[in-house]
Amino acid sequence: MDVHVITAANRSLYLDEIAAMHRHRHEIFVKYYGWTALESPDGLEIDEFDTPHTVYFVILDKDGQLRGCDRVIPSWRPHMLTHLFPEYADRPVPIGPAIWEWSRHAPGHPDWGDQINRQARLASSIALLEFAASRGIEAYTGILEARALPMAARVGWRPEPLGAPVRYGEGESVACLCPADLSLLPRLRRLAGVSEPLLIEIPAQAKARRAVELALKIGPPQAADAEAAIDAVLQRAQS
Amino acid sequence: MTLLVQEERLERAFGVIDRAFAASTPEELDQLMKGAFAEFGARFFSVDQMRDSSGAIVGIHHFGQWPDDWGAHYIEQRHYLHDRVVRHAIACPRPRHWVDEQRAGNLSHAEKRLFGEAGEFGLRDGFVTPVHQMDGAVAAVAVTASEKMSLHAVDKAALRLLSIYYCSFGLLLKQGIDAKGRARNVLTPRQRECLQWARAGKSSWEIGEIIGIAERTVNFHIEEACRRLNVTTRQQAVIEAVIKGMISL
Repeated sequence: MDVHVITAANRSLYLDEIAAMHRHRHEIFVKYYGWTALESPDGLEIDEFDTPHTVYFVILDKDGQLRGCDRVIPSWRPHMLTHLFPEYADRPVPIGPAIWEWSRHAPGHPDWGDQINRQARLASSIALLEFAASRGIEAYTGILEARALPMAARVGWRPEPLGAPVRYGEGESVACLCPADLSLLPRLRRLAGVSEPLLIEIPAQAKARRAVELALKIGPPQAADAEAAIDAVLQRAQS
Repeated sequence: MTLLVQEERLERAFGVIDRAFAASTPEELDQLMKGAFAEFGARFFSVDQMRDSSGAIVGIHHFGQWPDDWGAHYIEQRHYLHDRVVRHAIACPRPRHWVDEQRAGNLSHAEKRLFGEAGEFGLRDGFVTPVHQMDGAVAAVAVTASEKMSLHAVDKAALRLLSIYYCSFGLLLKQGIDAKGRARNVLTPRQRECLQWARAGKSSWEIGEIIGIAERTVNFHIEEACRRLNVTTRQQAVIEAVIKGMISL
């Protein structure tokens, strides 16, 4: 499984995956979680925080099928804790250049089986940590489902509550701040059975995604080979 | 109607065409053409796509000054199916004058009803000039009047000339506007309207029923919206439009 980062810059390369993501979000949050407020007749779950500034993660299996998604919003822009559920925080909502809000966490699907779902969950956490490393993010805020807290803790996240748990129609959740602890990565990668970074961020200029994806997977040439190749070129140039 | 008078009218038509070269907006062009067509007794004029380049019969209204309710009624009653003027426009570039069709007799019952209904909407005579385009598509310019138009040979030539130029200039202006719209990612009100209903889960047919246009016109608007948003499918268009704030959640 790979996790692709989608930003406003490279969005046009992921039109199919973005549509699949909104359909998946509808499946998970409306059908499975029962959050009927998010329901839409066209089967696409889109809210006011899906803007050009939003960054998405899509988990794709080796066949390119979407196996999960996440989204993160910069804390210095309107996000859920500041503009939708301010009552969840008893203290001022942490905002700053090193803090992003994490939401719409949807790895896997009830119908996909334990193996895929477990892999997707791990991939999601690894991706969020690798993204934190790439952007200098120190912590993610968000509203965690009370029932998801044990799972988060098992993975290694240490959610710090920002307020008291709030009961809502379909469950209970609590605003949290999760430090982005990069030291979790080696263990998570071991559990996921991967040694390379999972996160793929394809540049906007890439005309073909496939070529870039393949290039990322091919390792760098051995130093000896590179030297020999350069020598051969120099020889030909001199003769 | 003397030949001299007809020739003077033709001369004035050339003058209008000269000025039409300089028209920079569809509104400007329509103003010019309005005066020109009025010389022949015509009040309304419209450019419509009869057939697209793939050979499909489409019936899409491009531009013109036309009674909206007649256009909607025409589509609703599916008059394009038995309107011989449409068939003839596609088959042959020669213009048709309604009065000639009616006089020729052998109108089907449906056609007699069509002419009768047009009359009820204030359209009692028409002159239709087909425009056969390079890629196999066929457009038509319909110029209509509330009274019978007295058109002699030179008048018909003048009307045909004005119609062909109106179609050319009008489509060029429209393409320019479309190109600018695409460059700026802007959607027209109709495109936004269709996407908004698609967001509400409505099919093209349902959208047509709701806003009173043909299903294929809805598809036409959505396809152009897709082009402007640089996407390929309807779902992708809805998503981009919502994200960019062009349609509401």
